[in-house]
Amino acid sequence: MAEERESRRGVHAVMPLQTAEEESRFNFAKALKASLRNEFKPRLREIYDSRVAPEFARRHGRPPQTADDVAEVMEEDAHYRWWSALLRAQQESYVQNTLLCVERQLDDLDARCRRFTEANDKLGSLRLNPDVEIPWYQAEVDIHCVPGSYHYERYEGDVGQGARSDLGAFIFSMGRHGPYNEDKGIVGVNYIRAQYPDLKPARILDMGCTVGQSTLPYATAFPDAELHAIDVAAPCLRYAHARAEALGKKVHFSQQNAEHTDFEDESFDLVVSHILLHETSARALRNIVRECHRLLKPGGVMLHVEVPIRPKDPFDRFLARWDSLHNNEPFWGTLAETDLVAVAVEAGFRRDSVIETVTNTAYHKVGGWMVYAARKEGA
Amino acid sequence: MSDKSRKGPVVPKGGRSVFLKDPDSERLLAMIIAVASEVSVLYDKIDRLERVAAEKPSFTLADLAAYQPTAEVLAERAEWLQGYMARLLRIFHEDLDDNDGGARSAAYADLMDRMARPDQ
Repeated sequence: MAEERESRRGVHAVMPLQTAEEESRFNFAKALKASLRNEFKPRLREIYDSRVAPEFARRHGRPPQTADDVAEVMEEDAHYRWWSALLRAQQESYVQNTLLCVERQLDDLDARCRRFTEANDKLGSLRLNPDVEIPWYQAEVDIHCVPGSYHYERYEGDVGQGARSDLGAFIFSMGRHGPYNEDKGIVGVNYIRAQYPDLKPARILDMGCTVGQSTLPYATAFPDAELHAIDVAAPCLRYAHARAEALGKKVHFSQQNAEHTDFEDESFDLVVSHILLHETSARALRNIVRECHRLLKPGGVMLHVEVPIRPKDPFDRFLARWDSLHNNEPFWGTLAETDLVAVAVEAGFRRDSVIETVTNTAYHKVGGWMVYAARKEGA
Repeated sequence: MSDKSRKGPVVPKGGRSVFLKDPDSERLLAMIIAVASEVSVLYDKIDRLERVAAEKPSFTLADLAAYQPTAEVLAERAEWLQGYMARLLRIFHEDLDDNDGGARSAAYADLMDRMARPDQ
């Protein structure tokens, strides 16, 4: 049964608290999404094979070759339309419920966060920079249909969108990514250890950290390393700082765009990101990989953990577009078609150092994760 | 939080995708999902009431507020939720298993007509 694979939400001192009713709503949202993703989505492939592809071939005298070809017939299919409508309704419903949950306790969240961020004996740090511009690929779309996305601030010092993200990501992943939604970070750590056993990172940077769910496994795995994490969204960073302190992890957070940071050249042994790339743009992707190369010491490693997005056929391409178009992640489909090896080579990495592979989840994410890594020459 | 100045935006940018044949059906579906979600809230609430009452027939509101479901209770509720999902989404499961998508075939309609004839 699906629920056997679900983790109970991890507890920490700054998390949004749930009433019993809210918890029931979130459990419903997870169960509905699990049904739509795990039971109904695979059936769409059957419909494509048995009805859609033959109908397209009948109309055009050739098999479907592009996502547009598939869309022509698939979007007429009642099951696809209802599956899509249900998935979008589920998404909007759970997002609204997480926002309501967070907004009713903003004052309390604020106070609980401050207890950690204003403590004299805190472990890490927070450096905000109001001059950092939210890049257009974040500012102009509400990713995952979240009103206000990651960066909206209700008032000065607001942690709301960060707290919502902490709660929402757990529900969005249906509890399949670990109690603290830390799966991607653990996958990154495990991959580093297996692939680069000689790498002993003294300085690590996590790009696009949001609330640090994937950052903290690096603090656990490399306790002697100086761990930095950046994001453009101040509400997420404030919350991430408090969350890391509450969980006893030392992280230095700063508000920066991963495309061009203020860190010195060759100052990190390891630069990582987790599901950052598909929420950027083609130009930003190239800038980020170039920035990774600039920041890495000789022999240092860049590692990006992503959703396994490579399409196998026109139907995959069509489905990959769903999140692009309907969950407000426009770059997703383009990234899926991008030659990431070429991007790394263009940024200065040696071609034979670049890896793109799919690796296992540490918890129960269906399909595992894509790892995109490269090592800088030298040392 | 009743302070309206503390309320963030409530609608995601870019409007809503429409998948069904008319946007009113889509609105109705959103309402059905909301109602279905609230039914699951009520189920858990009744489950809590029953379990607290079984332990302590003269329970108070404080007893209800203090109740923490055990792992066993959570597993039972999760199982109920799985069954609830199957019942809620029954029509899609059944129609997916039917090559005609649940629609009545012309042959079956003819059969029904024949059966209804006074000479049969």
